Amino acid sequence: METHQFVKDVKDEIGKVIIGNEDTVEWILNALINEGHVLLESVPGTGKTTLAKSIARTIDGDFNRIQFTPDVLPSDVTGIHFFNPKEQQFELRVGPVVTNVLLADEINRATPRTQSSLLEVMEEKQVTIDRETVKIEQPFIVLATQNPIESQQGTFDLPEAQLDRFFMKLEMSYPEVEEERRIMQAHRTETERPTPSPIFTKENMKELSEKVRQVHISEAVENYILDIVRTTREHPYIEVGASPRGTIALMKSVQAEAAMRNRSYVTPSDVKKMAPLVLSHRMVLTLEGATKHNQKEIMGEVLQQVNVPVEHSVER
Amino acid sequence: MKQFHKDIKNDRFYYGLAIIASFFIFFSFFGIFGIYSSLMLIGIFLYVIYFINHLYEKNIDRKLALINLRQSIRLYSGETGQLEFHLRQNGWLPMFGARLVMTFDSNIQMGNQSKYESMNISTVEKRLNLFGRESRKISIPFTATKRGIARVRSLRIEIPSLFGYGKITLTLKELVKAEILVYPEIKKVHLNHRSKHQKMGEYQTNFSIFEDPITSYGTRDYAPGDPLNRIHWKSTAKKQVFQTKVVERVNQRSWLILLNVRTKDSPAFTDRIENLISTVAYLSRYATMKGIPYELLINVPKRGNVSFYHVSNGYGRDHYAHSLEVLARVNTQGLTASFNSCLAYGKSIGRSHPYVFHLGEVEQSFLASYQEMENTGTSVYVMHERFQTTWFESLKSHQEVAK
Repeated sequence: METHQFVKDVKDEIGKVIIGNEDTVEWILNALINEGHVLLESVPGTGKTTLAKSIARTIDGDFNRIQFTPDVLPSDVTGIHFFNPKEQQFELRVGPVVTNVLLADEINRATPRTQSSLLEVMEEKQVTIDRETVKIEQPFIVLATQNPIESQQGTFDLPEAQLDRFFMKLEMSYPEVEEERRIMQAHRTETERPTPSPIFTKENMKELSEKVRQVHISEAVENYILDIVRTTREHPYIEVGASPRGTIALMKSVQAEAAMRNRSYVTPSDVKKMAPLVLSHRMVLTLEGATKHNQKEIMGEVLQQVNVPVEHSVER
Repeated sequence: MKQFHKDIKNDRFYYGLAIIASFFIFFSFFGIFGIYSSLMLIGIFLYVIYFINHLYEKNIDRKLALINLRQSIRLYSGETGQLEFHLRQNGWLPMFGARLVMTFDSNIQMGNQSKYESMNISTVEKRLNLFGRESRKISIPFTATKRGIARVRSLRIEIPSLFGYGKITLTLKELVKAEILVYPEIKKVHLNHRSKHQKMGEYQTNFSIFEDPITSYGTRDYAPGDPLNRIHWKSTAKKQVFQTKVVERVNQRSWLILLNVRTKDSPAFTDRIENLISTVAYLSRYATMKGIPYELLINVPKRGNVSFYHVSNGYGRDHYAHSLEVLARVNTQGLTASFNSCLAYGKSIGRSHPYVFHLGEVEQSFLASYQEMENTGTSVYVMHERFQTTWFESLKSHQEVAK
């Protein structure tokens, strides 16, 4: 299966449920191909949870959801050993993280300790419960949602180490007028909302990932990526710039972006497009910077500062 | 719907042009001067000028659009920024020698030529040429001079008529959606409060004498003295050794900052307001840097459940930015609210804050309320100023000084 065809099929399937936000769907697929995790952020009522559930359904795999609240404990996420009186022995009961698609709804409502229980599973695709390690089957993706306008009472900001493990952070915008009209019409006429059907398997996923890794990155583009990352570490308004994990994520995301456009090479515009999505949330702004700009605006400044390589040195 | 309100002012010569043209054509029929065709031609020419000018005036704004996007620019006093608009002429009619005139709040200085129109409003002008089917970015540099919110109060485009016989004034009907927030200066104060006592609270910490019994995060071996209800029976059964639940240690280290903006016995703003706001800004910054949550109450009225400015309890960079924004929005030309209502609200929430800071005038009635707060284990600090130095005294010291 070709990557661009796969993206089209998935978009069509998800389009049955989600009207608009096509870019967001594409970017989530980008993360999925790269075995990355996505943090979805937007004001309430824009369809974050519905989108996450729809993506999960298009994958022929298991789907679990955790509704985070302040009293969710790390063991509620990872799992526990429980005593089985019938068998007279302890048995392992794995938590909801052992799945293919994990929807971590309203992740910023959990305490930092509970949020941190996802660290191992997100990075190493395994979970350790009482010294017993459980491997998680691929594909595995965490789709976490959070609401930016939440009052601080009862919410906990995600720690930087946790944010760094998200491949990209996406902000879902309000739909356009015509899209919103279609949403209204769909909800007026349909009694039962359609559900997307599974259209790709774990094998498809592996094949796509391998194809994406073959997309060529020229030296000029490689330097461009490095320049962007280095500039984030030197900007006066940035306290902590993008990590090497961020560099790798940016490289992988641009490869997938090129493959989705049916290209076998990466262009600087791919980097320009993906950098704000992949790097912004990994940067910690200074106190002064945070009062004047948000991470996306600073990322925009960084992209303006860095020289874009000319086209002839990009193509193979 | 048209974005602009149009006002056309033509001089007398322009109307005279039509009259002269009519005369010429009228007399050319009678051959009074014996030069029929020349008169006719001049008359028609003058009519054409008149007619083209009329069409220009009528249609110049028909497809003119100002891209009025929401923009919020945040900066500190003394910093420079740039206000940007896009003006697009979707029609074919050009504008030459036009002037963009903007009035705006005086706490920013726009360009070099801006001049004061009234006490709080300034004006700036910019030359503007725009061809048909052209879009132009208009950038106006500015410097923030004083804390507050600066908005563009009016925007008009003055276009000379095509043949210079008058002027078309296009005034933007809607509000310009640009807002410039000038943050307060941050004035350092001496903070000599001692964070020795703590309260039971909700913030997880590594060291505290308080524990939250419901947030168990692990187990450890039983030690003599551990209460029975802390034993984790399942874990004990599994390990065959008594296990005790380990629970989160918690405390409450938040601040409540109360700012009284009124002068004594008067509803007017105190003349020390800028200094007080700068001190609050410093406290917010200090708390943010130390990771201390804080809540802010200011007796400036607003609509809503809480009828005065209120920044609810929180911490971190976003909370600090929000606090600075609220401080920037305190308009000293506006109204003040009674500090008693602010204090009553503060008292109701004060129990959850171990530290309360008071800034502004202190009246005798406030001290009684603060004393009640102290009786519940809260430490109250009152701001003092002398010789450009600002510091905080505990309530007890303040009362002794007042005596």
